[in-house]
Amino acid sequence: MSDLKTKYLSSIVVCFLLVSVFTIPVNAQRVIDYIDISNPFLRKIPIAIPLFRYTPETPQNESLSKEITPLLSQTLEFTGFFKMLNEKAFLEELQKTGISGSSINFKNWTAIGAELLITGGLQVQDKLIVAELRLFDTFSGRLLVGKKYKGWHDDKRKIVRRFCNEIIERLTGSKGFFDSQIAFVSNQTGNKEIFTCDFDGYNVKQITRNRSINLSPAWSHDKEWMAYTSFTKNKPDLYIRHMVGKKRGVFVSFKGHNITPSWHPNRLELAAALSKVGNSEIYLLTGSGKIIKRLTYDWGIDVSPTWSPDGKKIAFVSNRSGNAHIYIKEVESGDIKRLTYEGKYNVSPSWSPKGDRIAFCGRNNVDMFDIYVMNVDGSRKMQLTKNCKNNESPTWSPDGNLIAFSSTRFGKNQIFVMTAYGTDQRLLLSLPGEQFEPSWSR
Amino acid sequence: MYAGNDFFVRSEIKKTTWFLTFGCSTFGHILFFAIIFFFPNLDQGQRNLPTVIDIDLVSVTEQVTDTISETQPIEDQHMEMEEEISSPQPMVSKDLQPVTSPENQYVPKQFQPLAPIEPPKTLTPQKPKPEIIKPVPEPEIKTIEPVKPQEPTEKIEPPPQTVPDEPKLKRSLKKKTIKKEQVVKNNNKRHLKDTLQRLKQQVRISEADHRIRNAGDVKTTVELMDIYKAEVMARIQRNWALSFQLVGYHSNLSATLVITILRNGFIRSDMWFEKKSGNDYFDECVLKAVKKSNPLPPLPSAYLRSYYGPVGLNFTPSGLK
Repeated sequence: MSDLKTKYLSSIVVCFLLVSVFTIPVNAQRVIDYIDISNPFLRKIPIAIPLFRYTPETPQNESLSKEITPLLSQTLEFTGFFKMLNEKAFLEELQKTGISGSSINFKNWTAIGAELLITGGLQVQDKLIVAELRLFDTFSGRLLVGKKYKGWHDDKRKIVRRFCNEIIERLTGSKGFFDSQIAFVSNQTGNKEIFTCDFDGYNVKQITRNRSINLSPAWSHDKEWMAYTSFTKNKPDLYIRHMVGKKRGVFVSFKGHNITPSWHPNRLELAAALSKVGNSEIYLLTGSGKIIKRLTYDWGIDVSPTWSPDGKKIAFVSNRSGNAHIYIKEVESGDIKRLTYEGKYNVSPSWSPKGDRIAFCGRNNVDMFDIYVMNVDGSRKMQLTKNCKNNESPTWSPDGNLIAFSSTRFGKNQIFVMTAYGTDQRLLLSLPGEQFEPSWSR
Repeated sequence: MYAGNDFFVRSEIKKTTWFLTFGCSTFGHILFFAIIFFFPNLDQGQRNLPTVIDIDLVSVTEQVTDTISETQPIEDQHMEMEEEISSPQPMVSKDLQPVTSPENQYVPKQFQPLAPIEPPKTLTPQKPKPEIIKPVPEPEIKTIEPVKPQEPTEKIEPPPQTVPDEPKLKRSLKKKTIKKEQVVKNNNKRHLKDTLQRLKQQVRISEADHRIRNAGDVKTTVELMDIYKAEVMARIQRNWALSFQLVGYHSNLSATLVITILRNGFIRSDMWFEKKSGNDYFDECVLKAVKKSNPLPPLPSAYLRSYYGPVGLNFTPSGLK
């Protein structure tokens, strides 16, 4: 009988378990209400950069801190990634709290909306500065980047840029552009000369001084060489100039015009438009100016080549269809595809370093020029500038996040910068005369 | 005997079979009752009601019962209902004007079901109305007049004789004579009111239950929670910072974070991703937006459960093209 009882009880227990197994998951299937959230209030990363801590506490060091802190803010803000929070809202001062993660109350920073926090400590020793810079995620309290730099007082800008490079690399996975330079044409001397400046318009230098017309500057992939068109011989020829040392330059002067150079992304070779056969065609040249091969064969005018990042394709402008449009050619196979069909004048293509987009200049309905971007198959065309007079000559930043261009929105031609999506358009540098045809180094 | 023994022997042999049969039978019964217990509305199809609806309707009936216990049942109920519904208003930002409009719709719908004040009247018609009117003293509110007819008809007959002649004289009479009558009257009235209120309460409860079953009028409560959801959406959206440059303007990015909101608006820590976007930065931004928004607005007072959830937050940046 006891055996019977145990079996009886066990069968009941088994039944109960089975029932619970069947019913519990059904109850667990809760109805979920959904809320759609589709419009971020802020389209940048809110970041707080409080005044750097300085030791020893002297008025000179305080002013140094007040110089370096905003420099870092401005440099980061230039990228278009960040929204700098107003320091008046800060609840903590690094001078009192310290700069390490353990000494920071991150709730004081999340409370004001900061998602990232940069703390810095400056130790001033005679003519040397030791800067300890840290980037924190305020929500997790994680240290994302921590660096210590030592340099002379004049190295402030270098230190800041290096740290900014680290930050961008940490956040985006790709190297920042804080070491890059922009070349451009300016007539501030009365002649169209080539100039260069840092990515932020700082440190302007005049490159050519031939009192002629110099146009279309182009950086080699290693930034050591620059090619440009010059009229010093009263016709457009190519000049290849060594930028870092004193190596001898190259002069390329085939019959007809020699214009619009574009360096190969990985090798010291360049594509350029030559009219030695009577018609403007694109040729591939060595760094010393010798022709490797002809790239285009058509009765139309082919100019303005730009390389894809892998160096396998070039985009260029041709009027073979009757109007100026952008085409892509595979260098090896020779296949050509037309990208633009709208409008009658699409020029100055610039292939993004990421390889997925091509920026170009197009004439709009009111005969003004605007900057557009499109996919490499011609789809998803997007107008980046609008209703601000002429906007021309787009050139990508090395990381593909910014585009520099020239614009006449303030009357004369000047160099402007915007994000790759057309936001944050601002003047890069203010110089006498006009500036145009910018070219961003890699 | 032998035959009997043989039977038991055989039955013992088939013991396992018997237990199997018994076990299956027990299991079937338990399963049947469990289904009935857990799914009472199974016959009504797939009307798997959101928890919100049940709760809100319950809250409505509770409000009604509360108000009924007070002196003025009907008009006050209107006020009470409005107050109850308007209470979440302060949480809503001024910009969200639509908050008021659904309430306006909400009120009349409430009254329709709550109107069944007629049921008591069905009891009164037994007695003649003219007699009822007489005993009613002047200070009494006319609206209550139709309700009184029930009892006072017989018991309060004497006073009406004095009163109807010269009502004003009644006031001028000494209090002693009136007091006795009034005490009786008041007692009767109270008794009558109590019974009426009980009846009304029962009617309302039954009607509310009926509405729960029919789920058609659930719209009002759903609207209430819709307002709350809009508030939640606005709050989180305000705290959502996303660098479009970093996510690369990919239009197909979307993530769903499931949270549970406590009564005081605090988000329970056990949030989880129902769907991730595949972009770490995007998912991180989503989490930060929710964390920044904590606490959310407290749940509407009409919402009786201790928490609201699970709620899925669908993050789909529309500006990314």
